[in-house]
Amino acid sequence: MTTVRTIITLPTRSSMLSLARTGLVSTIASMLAGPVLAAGPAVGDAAKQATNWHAIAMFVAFVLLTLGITYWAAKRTRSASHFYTAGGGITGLQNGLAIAGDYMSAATLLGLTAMVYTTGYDGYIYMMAFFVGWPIILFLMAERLRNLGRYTFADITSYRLDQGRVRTMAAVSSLTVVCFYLVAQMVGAGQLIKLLFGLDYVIALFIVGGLMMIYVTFGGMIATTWVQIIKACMLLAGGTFVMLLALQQFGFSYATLVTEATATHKLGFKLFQPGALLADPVNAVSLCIGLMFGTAGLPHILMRFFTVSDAKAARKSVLYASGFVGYFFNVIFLMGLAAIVIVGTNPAYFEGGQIGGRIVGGGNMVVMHLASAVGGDLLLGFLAAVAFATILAVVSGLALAGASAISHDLYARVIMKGRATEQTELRVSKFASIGLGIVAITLGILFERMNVAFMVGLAFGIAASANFPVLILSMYWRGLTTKGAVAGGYAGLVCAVVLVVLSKLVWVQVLGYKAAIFPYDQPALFSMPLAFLVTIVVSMLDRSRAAEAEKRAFEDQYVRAQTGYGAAGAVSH
Amino acid sequence: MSEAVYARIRANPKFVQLVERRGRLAWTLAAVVFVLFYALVLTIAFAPGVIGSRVMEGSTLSVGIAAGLFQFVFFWVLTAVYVGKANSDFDAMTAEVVADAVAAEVASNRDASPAAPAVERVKEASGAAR
Repeated sequence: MTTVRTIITLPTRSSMLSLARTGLVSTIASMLAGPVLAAGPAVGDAAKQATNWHAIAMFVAFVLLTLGITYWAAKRTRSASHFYTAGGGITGLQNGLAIAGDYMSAATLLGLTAMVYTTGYDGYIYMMAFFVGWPIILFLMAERLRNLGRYTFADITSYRLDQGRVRTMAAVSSLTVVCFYLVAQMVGAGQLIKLLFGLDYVIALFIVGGLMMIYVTFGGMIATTWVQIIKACMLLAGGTFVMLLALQQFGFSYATLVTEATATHKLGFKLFQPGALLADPVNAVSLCIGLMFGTAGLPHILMRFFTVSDAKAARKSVLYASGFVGYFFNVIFLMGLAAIVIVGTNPAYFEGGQIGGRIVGGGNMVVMHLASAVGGDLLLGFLAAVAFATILAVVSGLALAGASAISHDLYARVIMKGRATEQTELRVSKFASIGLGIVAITLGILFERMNVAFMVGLAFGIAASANFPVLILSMYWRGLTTKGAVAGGYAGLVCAVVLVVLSKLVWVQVLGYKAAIFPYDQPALFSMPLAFLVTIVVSMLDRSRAAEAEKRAFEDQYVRAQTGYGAAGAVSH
Repeated sequence: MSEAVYARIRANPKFVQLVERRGRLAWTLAAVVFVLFYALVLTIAFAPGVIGSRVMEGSTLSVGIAAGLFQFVFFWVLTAVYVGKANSDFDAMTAEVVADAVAAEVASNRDASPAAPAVERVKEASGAAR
């Protein structure tokens, strides 16, 4: 409860003087002007904004509601199964919403709208690449995930392999993905909250980290799921509302919207031509591969498949999730186009009233300006609260996935070799969530002034290279052995990290060297095939007796994957 | 118990048929998504002019947007097709295959050890299959 009080009282202390001006319009920020690739919305330092009371009031309402749900969920979280997977009692629709809520981060709302606003079609390509992973997950993975997994995806990769080594590898790569993703979200959150709510960066981090620890530690997967569901509904409703109000100004006609947008934008009709971002074919393909297969290897997304009762519900979750995600991407596209006319021609949204100059608050604020232009301070406040809720939901999902890797994989299976009691495992996972919260806050503070744009890209790259190949081979290929899985997983992990360090994003922008050694932004095109190759070659060369037993065990695993016979079922509540 | 049931399921021709039919549908749909999406990505990479042109003279709709929107809708329809088929036909087949194997296993166990109460065993087995 202290956290709530902090939120209410802090703004009064920090910004009594700036009370007069609500909203974003005024202060100057030096956020990176262009949209940041799928990454943390904010980079560089955003100047603190006047305190936005509408936003704070709506956000406090959201926090109170979710804390209430956490209290309710805490009473229901009695076993490890409740903590990790909500007892498998989530329905397909609920899980679909929660997956959409997990998947659409604040970067989606802010970064992609800004990208459509500045580069037009490039933004649309990104959204397609983010979307096409879902049908593939459904066709090739969803029911096998549900039938084989219990709490973490390492349950599947280690199903017939050596528990200790394979789980350690899966936990290491999961935690790497979670940490990079978490830092990108935390830094973005701090900058964004500073801008939207006028709160201090460090205080913003403590609020996000603190709430996350409360949700995850007390409410486990039940609370996390409901935070994500509520947030997804808010995001879908808020976005749709802004889009409708904006389209009204064009008589709800796509033709009028395009005519006016192309007349306004400096690119003209070239707005619909792929831009510089994807000029290099290798880069374009690598990016699409990274986003597509990265989605299928993100630990917090994979974990959501274990929260439903059976394969039927797992399939339905993807149907709903991909519907919501696909719909919302098109809403974002329309909002971006409308913003070109509505925001792009209004001097109030540019620094010093210079149309075409720097956007007040930085490029990522386009969608916020659009909300304020079509719906006033109230809608702006709502959308700002949605953005904050979005960060909280994504961060909670990540922390829970990280905590599960620590407690279920590392502690219970690797260290205690399956002899840990459920109660101690549960206690370890709660300490792990608190630990991850502290790590997230600390790293967020350390990285405040650093360009963290590469981190989400890296998280997807590692997920596509270290997690996805081993996971898919463990479900489909009889010949996979422990040695192959471990070698391939680490090869993908190391290769993805090294290539990103050598790419422009880190080598030039963070380390300050002149030219990048690796010329592309996304490592997946190289690191993912490498991981597959190493896994397959090492497995085939493995002639040990253990390897033979592992191959034989595939037969039973295969039947379970196909039929769900023997799969972990739902626990009664 | 479960190893024996797995062996019985594997030996059932209906299981082989189920796996084949579901696999064929899943891989076909996945291939459609792969081919269409990467065809678009390669067009974007090698022929950006085509992507940026209008679908018709004087139209405000560009080829790239039309193709992209088509893929969003079409791929989602494909997921609906798969979910519809898998959740009705394939799941019914799966349930049948599992039930056959469990029943056969229970019957053979009862023959082997007449003392074991068969009803209990059926309950246990179907509980595990959930």
